[in-house]
Amino acid sequence: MELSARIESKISGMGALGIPVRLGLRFAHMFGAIIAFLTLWEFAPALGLIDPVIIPVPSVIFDKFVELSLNGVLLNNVAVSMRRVAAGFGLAVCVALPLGFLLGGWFKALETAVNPLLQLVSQANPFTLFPVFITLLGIGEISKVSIIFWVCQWPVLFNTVTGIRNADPVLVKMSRSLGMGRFQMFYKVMLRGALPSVFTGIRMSAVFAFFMLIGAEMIGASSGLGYMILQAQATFQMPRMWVGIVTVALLGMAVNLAILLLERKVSGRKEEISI
Amino acid sequence: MSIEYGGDGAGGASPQAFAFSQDCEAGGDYKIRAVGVGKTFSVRGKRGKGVTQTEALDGLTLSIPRGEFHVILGPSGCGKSTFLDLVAGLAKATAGEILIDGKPVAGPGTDRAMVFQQYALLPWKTALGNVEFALEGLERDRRRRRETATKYLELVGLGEFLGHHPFELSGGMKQRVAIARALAIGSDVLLMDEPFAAVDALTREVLQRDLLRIAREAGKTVLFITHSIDEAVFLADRVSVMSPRPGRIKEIVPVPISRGDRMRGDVKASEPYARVRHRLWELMREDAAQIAASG
Repeated sequence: MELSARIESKISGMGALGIPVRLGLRFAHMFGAIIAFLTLWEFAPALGLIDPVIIPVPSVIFDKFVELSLNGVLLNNVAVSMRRVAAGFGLAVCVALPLGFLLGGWFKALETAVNPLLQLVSQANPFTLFPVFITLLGIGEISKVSIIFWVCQWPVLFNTVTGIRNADPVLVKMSRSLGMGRFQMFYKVMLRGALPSVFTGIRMSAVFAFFMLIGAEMIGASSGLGYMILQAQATFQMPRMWVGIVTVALLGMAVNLAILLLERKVSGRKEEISI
Repeated sequence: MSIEYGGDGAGGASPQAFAFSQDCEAGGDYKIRAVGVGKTFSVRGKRGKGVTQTEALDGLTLSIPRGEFHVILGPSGCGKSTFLDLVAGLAKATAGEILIDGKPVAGPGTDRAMVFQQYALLPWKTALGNVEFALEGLERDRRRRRETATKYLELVGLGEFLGHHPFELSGGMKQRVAIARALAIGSDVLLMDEPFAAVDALTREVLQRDLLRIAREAGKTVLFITHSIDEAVFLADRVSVMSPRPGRIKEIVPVPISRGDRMRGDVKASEPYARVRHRLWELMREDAAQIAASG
C-alpha cells in the first residue's frame, strides 16, 4: 500500500494529466504484472518456450472456461465443491471460535494443560489422515466435509486463543478500574481486541479448506472441481484441466477477498503499516 | 502544613517512626486516607521451588485532604504504582486499609477515575467512542453519553478530533482523551499513574498546565505519581517522597506556591520553587545513594 500511495502521489503531482490518464496508470499499476504474465504465456508456444498441448495458452483456456460455464458443467462442479467447503469450513468456525474464546478467556488452566496435545494432533499431516477418515466414515460426503472441518478448526482455534491471551493488559486494567464486570470486559474489550487475530485464523482456514477440498475430491469423489481436474488429466483434456485449476484459484481469491471485506466491515478503520 | 512520616516497619529503628501528624489524628476532612498500608507479593522461585516474599509497601500512612493536588515522588520500583493500584481498588492491600471519604476501598469503582501512562485507549474506538465507553455503566441514555463525552473532549481541547482513532492522534492528544475520559466519569478523585512520562517535554508542560487548571476548576482531589522532581514541584500542593524496598512515605514536602503564581511563566525561576526542588532532590539523592550501595 505504501508503494501504491507513493506512486499515487507522484501521479497526482503531475497535475496537468487528465483523469483518464491517471486511472489508466492506476490500472496498469494494479494489474500490469498479471497482464504481462498472461501476454508472455500467450506467446510462449510461438517462441518455443512451452508445449501448447500440455500447457494450453490463456485464450484457449478462456474459451474452454466460457464453454464449460455455458453448458453448466463447471457451475455444477463449483456448486458441489463450494457446498463441501462451506460445510467443513463453516462447521470449523462454528466449533473452534467459541472453543477458542472459552479456552483463551475462561479456562486458562485447561488451555495450558491441553495445548501440547492440541499442537501435536494438529501437526498430523491431514493427507495421512485420509485413510482414517475414509475407514471411519466411508467415502461419502461426510468424510470429505469432516476432513475439511478437521483441518480448518486448528488455525481458528489457535489464533482465537492467542488473540484473547494477548489482550492488552492496560486495557483490561482500565476496564476494571471503571468497575466493569468480568463478562462485559471479556465481551467489550478482550473479544474485540482479539478480532484481528481471529480473522487471521479464519483466512488461514479458508486457504486450508481449498487445499483439503481438492485433495479429498481427487482421492475419492465423483463430482467437484478436484474430480473434474483429475478426470480431465486422465482423459488428456488439458484445457478442461486448466479451467479447473484456474477456477479453484479464482474461488480461493474470492473467498479470501470476501473475508477481508467482512473483516474491514467488522473492525473498522485500521492503521496502515509502512516499512 | 504539617509534616508526617510513614510508620516504620517491624524492625524499624528510625527516630521519625510513628511521628504521625496532628491532622491525621484529629480526623479532618480527608478525601483519601491510607493507614498502615502494606503490600506483599509472593513470587514463585525458579523451577517452582520456594516462594519469595517481596515487600512492595510497608506501613504506608498518608492523608490527602479534599481538593488537594498530591504528588507521590519516587524512583522507579519504589512501589508508588502499587500504592495507586490499591487506592484504585485494582489490588488488595495485605495490611492496613485505604479509605475514600472514610469508607474502606473494597474494589474498583467510578468514585475514582484513573489515567494511565500508556493511555489505555481502545484502538478500535474513536476519541468520542473511548470517552463514551467509560460512561456505558453510568449513563443509560446514548444521547446523553454522547453529549457528556463531547463536552469533556472539548474541555481538553479536542473538539476537532472527536472522530479520530487513537492511531491518528499524537501522544499528547491521546493522553488528553484519557484525561477527558477520567473527567467524564465525574468522580471527585483522579488517580494518575505517570500520565505524562511518555510525551515530549514541550507537550508535557502544556498538559501539566491544562491539568492543573482543569483539576482546580473542577475541585478534584488528585493523586499523581511521578519520578520527575520538576513535575512534582510544578503540580503539587504537597509532595510525598517515597523510598523503596519496602515502599513507604519518607517525607511530605509542602509546595508554598499559590495557584496564580504557578500559571506565570517565571514560576520555575522563583525562590520557593528552587527551594522545594532542592529539598526534593536531596531526599531523592539519599535513596539513590542507598540503592547504589545495596547493589
